[in-house]
Amino acid sequence: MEKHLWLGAIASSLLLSAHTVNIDRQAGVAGTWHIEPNHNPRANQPTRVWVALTTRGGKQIPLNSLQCRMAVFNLPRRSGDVPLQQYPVKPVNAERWSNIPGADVVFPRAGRYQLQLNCTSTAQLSPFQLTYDTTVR
Amino acid sequence: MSAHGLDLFFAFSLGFLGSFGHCVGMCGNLTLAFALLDRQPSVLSKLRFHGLLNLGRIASYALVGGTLGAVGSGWRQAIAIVTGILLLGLGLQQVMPAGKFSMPLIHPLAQKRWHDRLGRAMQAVAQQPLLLGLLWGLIPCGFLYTAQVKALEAGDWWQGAVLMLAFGAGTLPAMIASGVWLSKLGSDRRSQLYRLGGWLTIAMGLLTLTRSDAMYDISGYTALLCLWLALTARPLSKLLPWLLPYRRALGVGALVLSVVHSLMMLDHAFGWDIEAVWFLLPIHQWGFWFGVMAVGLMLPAGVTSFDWAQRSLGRWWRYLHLLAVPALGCSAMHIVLSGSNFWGGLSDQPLPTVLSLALLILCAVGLLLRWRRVWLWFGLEQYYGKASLAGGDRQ
Repeated sequence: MEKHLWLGAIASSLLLSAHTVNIDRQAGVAGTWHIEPNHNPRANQPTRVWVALTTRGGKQIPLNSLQCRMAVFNLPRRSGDVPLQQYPVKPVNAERWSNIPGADVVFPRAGRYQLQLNCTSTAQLSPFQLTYDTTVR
Repeated sequence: MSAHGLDLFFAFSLGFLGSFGHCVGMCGNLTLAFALLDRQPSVLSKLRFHGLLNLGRIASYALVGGTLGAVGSGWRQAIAIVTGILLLGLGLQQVMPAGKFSMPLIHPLAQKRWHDRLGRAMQAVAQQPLLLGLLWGLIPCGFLYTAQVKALEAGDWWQGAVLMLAFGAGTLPAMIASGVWLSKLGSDRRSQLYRLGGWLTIAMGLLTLTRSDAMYDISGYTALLCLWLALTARPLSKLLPWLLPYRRALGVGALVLSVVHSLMMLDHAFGWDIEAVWFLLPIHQWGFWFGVMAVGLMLPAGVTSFDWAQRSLGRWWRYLHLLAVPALGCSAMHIVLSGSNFWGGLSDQPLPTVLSLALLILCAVGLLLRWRRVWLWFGLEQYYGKASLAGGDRQ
């Protein structure tokens, strides 16, 4: 009986859940978001955010083929809302990745925010938008 | 459905879906420790114990619900420390009954009196699952914090509290089920969990002492440790005879923890978007597949880890269980290629290289220990524990 309980539990947890994930994907591009330190941002402190962009097969997309903007929204989002903050995206060298989109963000207070990266490409990629939800203490 | 009703449903599903990965993964150790406190045999009493335990937990969620600021991280840290010390005390008490434990400079009679008094006080707390649950709900937890901040967005205290109750209710099925199941395992006098009880409680107490707000995952590393010990228990059985009887629990534990770790990673890093695996950097893709292979290799051994299977499978049972050897190798490669503190973190600092090499060497040592010739080379052959037909882990 317990076996069925556990199988059922594992099966139901395979449903999509709507909370924070590190990897966001759209239009053939995946972005792995990182917030330093350790995905645990604090309010009113400059926080480095960077997104490692890859295409299928794990090929990295260099920043110099992209034009990107980063915006910060309050959560929950409502349709037609404006970004709380906008940041220029600059090339960041993080870990052994180089030349990846990043920004130094300052969250105004504790709460939940959504980071949004919008990029257009000078190569053959369609424009894409990737988001990441985070909780700031 | 009113807007309010919809919010409750989302809060409930957040708790429900997250509980299998996050809650079981991060608080599985606490659930185990609490489960070991409950030695009553009947399933009904276990349901009552874990029911009250979890009610206490979600009651504290609701109380904190809309007043996030009131229980700051300093307080939570303190409560984690208190709970950790409580678990340490209970574990120590089980492992070292009075008479075996003596402190210098204190008169033996006074020692006994204190030992009994403290013991009774701790037992009294252990018999109050509601109180334990309240403490549990206040321990730092990144996933919980996220839910509480969402509840804050509701506006007023009452709405926030109700949302947190819905969230907590969502976590009840997974937590009560795992608690009752672990309790059943732990009260079976024939099970190794029962005999390990005190030591496990101590270990969980130590882990609780170090809790913080960050979401972290120790289940993977603990799985590796269990697997390593399961593989080296026999060769080390002359030097460390107390290890061998627990070999079965260690092996099954390694599998269970690996599965928990996999679920947590699938949930937290991928959001169940399996397609995203193909977008990982090649080194991480390799790491991912090594991890999948490791779990796959452990599965046959794990599901045949009971006496009936050992009898009916004959010599095939041993071959199935020897798959644990390549499983260790795959696990080591998985960690080194995927782990952010290792080569998978892609930093060009020296530390990840040191850690990666250290891990690979440790795993190689574990496997070499199983080979008698290695002991011969070091002239330590008399300490080598060789396999015997009787087997060391019959219960």
